[in-house]
Amino acid sequence: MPDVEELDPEVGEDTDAELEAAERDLAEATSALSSSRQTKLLLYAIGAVAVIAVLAVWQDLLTVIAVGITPGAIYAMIGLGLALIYKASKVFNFAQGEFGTVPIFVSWLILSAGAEDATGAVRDAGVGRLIIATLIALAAGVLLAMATYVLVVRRLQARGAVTTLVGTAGVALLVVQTEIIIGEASVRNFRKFVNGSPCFGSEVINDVEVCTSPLTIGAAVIEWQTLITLGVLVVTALGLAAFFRTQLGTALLATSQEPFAASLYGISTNTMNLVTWAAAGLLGAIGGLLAAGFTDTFTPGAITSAWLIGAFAGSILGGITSMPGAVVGGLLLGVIQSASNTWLPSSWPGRPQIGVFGVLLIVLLLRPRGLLGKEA
Amino acid sequence: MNHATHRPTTGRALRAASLAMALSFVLAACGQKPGVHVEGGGGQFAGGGAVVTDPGTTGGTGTVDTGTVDTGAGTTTDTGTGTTTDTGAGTTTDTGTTGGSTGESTGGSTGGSTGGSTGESTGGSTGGSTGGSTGGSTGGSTGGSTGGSTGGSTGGTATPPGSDRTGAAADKLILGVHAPVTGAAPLPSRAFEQADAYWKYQIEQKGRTILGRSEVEVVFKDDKYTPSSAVQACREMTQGSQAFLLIGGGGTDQIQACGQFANQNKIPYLSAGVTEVGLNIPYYFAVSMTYAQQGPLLASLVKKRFPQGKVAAIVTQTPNFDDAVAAWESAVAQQGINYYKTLRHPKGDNSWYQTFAIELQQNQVDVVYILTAPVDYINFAKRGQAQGYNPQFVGVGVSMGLNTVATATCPAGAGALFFSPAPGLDRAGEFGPDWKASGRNDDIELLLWSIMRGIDESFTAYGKVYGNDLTREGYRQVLEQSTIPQGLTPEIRYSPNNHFGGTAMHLLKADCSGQGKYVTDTTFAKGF
Repeated sequence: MPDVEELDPEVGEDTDAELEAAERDLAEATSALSSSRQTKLLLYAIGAVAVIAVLAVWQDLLTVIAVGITPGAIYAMIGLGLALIYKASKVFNFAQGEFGTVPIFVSWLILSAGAEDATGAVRDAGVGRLIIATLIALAAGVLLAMATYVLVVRRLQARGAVTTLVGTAGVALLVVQTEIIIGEASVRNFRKFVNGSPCFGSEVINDVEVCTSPLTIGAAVIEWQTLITLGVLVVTALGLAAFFRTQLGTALLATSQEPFAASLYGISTNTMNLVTWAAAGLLGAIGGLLAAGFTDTFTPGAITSAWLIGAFAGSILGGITSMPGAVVGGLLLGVIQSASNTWLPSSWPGRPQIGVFGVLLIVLLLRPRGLLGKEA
Repeated sequence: MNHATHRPTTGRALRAASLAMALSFVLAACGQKPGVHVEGGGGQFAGGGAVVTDPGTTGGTGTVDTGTVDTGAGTTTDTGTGTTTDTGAGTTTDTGTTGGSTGESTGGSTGGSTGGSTGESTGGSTGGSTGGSTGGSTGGSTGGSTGGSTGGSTGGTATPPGSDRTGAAADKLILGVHAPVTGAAPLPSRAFEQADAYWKYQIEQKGRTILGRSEVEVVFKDDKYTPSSAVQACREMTQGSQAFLLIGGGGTDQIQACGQFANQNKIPYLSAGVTEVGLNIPYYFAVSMTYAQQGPLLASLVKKRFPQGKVAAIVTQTPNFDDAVAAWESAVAQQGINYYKTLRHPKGDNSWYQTFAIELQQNQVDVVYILTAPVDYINFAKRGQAQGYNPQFVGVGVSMGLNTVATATCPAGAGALFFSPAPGLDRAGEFGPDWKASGRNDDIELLLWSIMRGIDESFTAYGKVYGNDLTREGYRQVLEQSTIPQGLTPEIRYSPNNHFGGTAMHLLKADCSGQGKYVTDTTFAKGF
């Protein structure tokens, strides 16, 4: 038998090379397997830590969610109006806050009309009067929104988005000043439909019945107002979802996507825009009344100053073009604020802002359209 | 394809979103409710033209008695115009005439006439003459024992330092007031529209003049609860409306910003005591105890009234409250109070109420020292109550003790105790007869009234030194050596090294039995 190397030395070299390659592949495969195992182990470890952490802070987590859910729902309600208008008109509406504040003022004015002691009159108003005041207040929000569209937005829209945006900001400032002139810039108590919380046990202390077992989630007492707010949000979200399945809703979507094509089909873009603004006004009014019920107080420009930025942030977080996104973003925002207040060090100035805008930044970097954003 | 069509839209949306957020921040920075400048249009009124009569109580000291042979017949018909009608025709030792004439030439009519007449009747006429010529102290030292001192005291006045007479025309004084009537923590504007009520009463009802002027105009500007707007408001009041001095009506950060602006421009600036941070400066004066000064007083109150209570504090996260927090925590430690901790919340944020309420409730905190904007206190108290947490609230400052805050907070804030520079409306009449006679019944007006009374006292002190020739530099110099006597407000003692001259505070208690108001718990409290 001849020596292999002697017969064909190249064959031996190839074999060596193949062997080396095979060894390398084996090493790489082993390494990959090991790495994969390590990765899995790491993931398991992270998962375990996360589970333990959640269990450890379960009560705190429940509390955080319970505290954040009501303001979140209000952000969502106001954000729905913002998203609706943006979806239909591509306008960032800075007057949306005032679509909420004006109804609060209207409600207060109706309840206190003719009374010497306005605070007492509002506090003691009957349910019937409260319902009437609320309905008129909602109508006021709708009318203000329609007026904003007809008198300002429609005239400025052709001049560009920035001009329109500034126009809506101008409306907000003008309305706030009017509120100050009419109502003076002081903090007033707001009358809501139901005070307190669902109660499972009470005691009479000093001749006063005191609820000793209110409904709680975690350590947070859940008020009737929270349940009402969440209920209204659910109904509104479902109502909007149903609305966009109707002929009118479809026409509205068509108008927002292709106004020219829609007009060729006989759809009046003007009417559609007016309907959109009216709906946004209604959403703003509902959000405003819920917000005032949540804080129990209001001042001129209350919704613009306290809620509008949060609603904008929430709707951008969820996706400014998405109605479900506005709801998700708003709720998430409320919970992030609550979590930041609970868990970030109290020495950090602006904890809620750090939390909210940190998350917003990350989401926008990873998904610029927001969590649920897409074209209409 | 889809991708291609989406990207530009996304870009537009993002750009628009960025623009919208930027505008949001601008609006937020403006307090979201930018707008009206509530101009204090009022405040222009004519006075009765009364003559200021200097009582001469702080005259020269008369250390060298050389006027024992006074026979001066200075009958003193000097009419206060310095026209040398003083006829103090004394004998050789009576130089009452000189008193008159010298008074005319330098010190003015009052120096001449009073110097002459007093010299005539009681002391040496030299008192009159020298008093007239060089002012009180010299008059005293070279005049007769009685004549000298009296002559000196009412004698001519020195020329004030400086030359900045902005806002101090011969016939009218202009004062500027700023406070937030819009923004995140607004105060009712109607009271500030009545900021001239004190001067109106003094001039129209009592027939006085103020440093020889028969008109005091008070200009008011809304500072929108933001420091930058406050500085702009102060600039407009001093450069546009030509205010002689500025008064901060509320809001620590705004007061600090305007105080520093005023100091840079050498404009006297007064406010109720707030922070001391950045305000230990020549032209700033606190007209009541600062928050840091009130800290130990509050700690002693808490220790006395709630000896077993567990205590915590909620303070807005601004560096301008750091001195207050440090003083409070130090006093709490000294008093041995059972203390949980100090919670800080961001300014302008409204998401912390329930979270803090739960934390304090879980840690069984009974007493909460709250140092925030009133609207935050109101909302926290209400959220706490909804949470079933009803602590005893205590605090310092000015705006927490306003009735509008009690009305909005009740019943959650029932029994809350807050210090205030002025007593409650229920007892204001006891310490301010003029206030009582004016028939007014608004607590913000009362606070403004009490600040204006202090300024009036300081003008009187100024008049004794420099007469009616009012300069900003001279006013500052006189004020920092003045003691403002107790009236509606406790005594204020300034010195060149201490412009935080408050000595005591009133204590108000929230009464929620009606629609909610504050009643006076303790007056002129210096300790508990």
